Amino acid sequence: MLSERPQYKIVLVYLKLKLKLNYNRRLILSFDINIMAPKEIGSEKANVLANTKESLQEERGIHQVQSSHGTGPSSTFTHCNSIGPYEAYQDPYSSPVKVNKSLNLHLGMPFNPRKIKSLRRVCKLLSDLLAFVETHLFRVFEAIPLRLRQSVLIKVWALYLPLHRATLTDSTGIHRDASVEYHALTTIMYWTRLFPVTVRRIRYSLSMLPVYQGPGVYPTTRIKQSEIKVDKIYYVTNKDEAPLMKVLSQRESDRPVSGYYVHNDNGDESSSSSNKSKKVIFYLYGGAFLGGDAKGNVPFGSKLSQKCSMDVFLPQYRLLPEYHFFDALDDIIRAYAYLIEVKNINPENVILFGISSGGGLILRLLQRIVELQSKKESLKCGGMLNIPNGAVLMSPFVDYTTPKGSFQEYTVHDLIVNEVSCMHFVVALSCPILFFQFHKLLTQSVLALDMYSLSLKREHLILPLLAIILYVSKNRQSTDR
Amino acid sequence: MKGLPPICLIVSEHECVYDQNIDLCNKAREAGVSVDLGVWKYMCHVWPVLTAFIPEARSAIDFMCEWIDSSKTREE
Repeated sequence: MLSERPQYKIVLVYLKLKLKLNYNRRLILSFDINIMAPKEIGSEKANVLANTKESLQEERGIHQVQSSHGTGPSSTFTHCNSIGPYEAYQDPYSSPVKVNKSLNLHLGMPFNPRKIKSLRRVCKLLSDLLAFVETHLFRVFEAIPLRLRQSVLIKVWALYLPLHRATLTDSTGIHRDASVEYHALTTIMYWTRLFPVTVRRIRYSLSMLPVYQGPGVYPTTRIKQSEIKVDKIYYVTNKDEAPLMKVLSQRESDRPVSGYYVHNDNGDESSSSSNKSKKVIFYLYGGAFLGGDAKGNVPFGSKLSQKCSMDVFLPQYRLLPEYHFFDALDDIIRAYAYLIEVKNINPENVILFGISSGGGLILRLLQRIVELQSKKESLKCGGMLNIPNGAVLMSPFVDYTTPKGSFQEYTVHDLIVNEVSCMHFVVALSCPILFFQFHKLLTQSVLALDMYSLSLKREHLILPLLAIILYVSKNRQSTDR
Repeated sequence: MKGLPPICLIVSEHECVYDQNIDLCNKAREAGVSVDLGVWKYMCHVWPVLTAFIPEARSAIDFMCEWIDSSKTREE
């Protein structure tokens, strides 16, 4: 009876394969569950269950949405616009640990057994060698014209995708229901996880974002990328002329506002009165506060600008190990004040848009504006202190306490945030001076890179201690003088 | 949290910041802020940037832009 159904056949083949190769059990289990679970329930019963679930979800304002882009069940997502709370886990007894158990982690490959350990050692060696030449390598890569890099990437992807579709299909991602494209991407990204991550590498990879945003890439624009007018902003602030900046920013600093401004109207000169009615997206890039730059986000920003027919302003903010979190916050507060005051934009026409760490900054900015509205000082600014029209937050980073829950458990399968980059972030946020000390150490010696490899855990303690000693001794020297 | 403008929150159910985002959404709603929550499944952190590769990213971008468009009319 079993062999009549093709799905069971697949399971049997897998079971045989796995037994032969003595793989870990998790993959088999996950396949078992995924394929057999819906079959076990009778069709009528399943229908009733589905109906009650739907009505319950409708009560809560949750809608399953079928999008036109994807294929298969992957394209559904949940849209919830109710005012009541959203339940993170539909099953009340579920937790990130339990969710992980039901997923096909690490492409079904054992992550810790011996084979992978040796593979990791090889990657570590390669990475150490790379550390010597990576700055030159990065420079060479940057010298290649952007257009060429974009087209090469798309061609490689177009070659790989059918190959993946024909061979591995949906067995490699974290779940079968995800699209084949996602499975293919997971397979490629898996190998990068074996390499130790450093701040320099995070920054470099984030500055390479334009490569993924070629002209043919969705959302495509009617106008050619080269025809879109982008202004480079560099504005030296003068607090006497800018009451809003004075009120919003709590710090005394004369740091100029810098960033990029993408025009939607192709740079037609317009008077300041029409600026009032202009609609602008205030775009903050992400990168765990450690990386990212405004320039790298311009192609994506200009595509958004075309799609939503709005201008986009991308301010630059300072990054973590070298500067403090509040420096970054101050930068974006000034940039916002610049947009409202100097560019003369009505705040009610501004939409704030934040990716990852940028989302966290946007929330802080909003809270600051709301907080100031109730104070007397706000009278000086008049309408300039009105609340913006809305905020779009793309997976914002808002909890700066010790990682817990999904932030701890999901690092094992999240393609972008892994254990090491997460640790970088936590260390950098909690003690930036300390981090900077051994960040400097890192760039000086390759040996210290060990700290960032996943394999060595003891060094996590030793190096910060070393950094503290170095820092204290340095301070003592300076005070002695 | 009180007095914040409407928020459009896009998150994946299997990414690192999922828990804190749901917390954020519920806290904002408690304070009377309107939150439009879009939850995708199985995606990684900030997947909408990867429009070159995955269809889910494209649908997420559409969701965002539709929200922005609707917010324009809300203003008027």
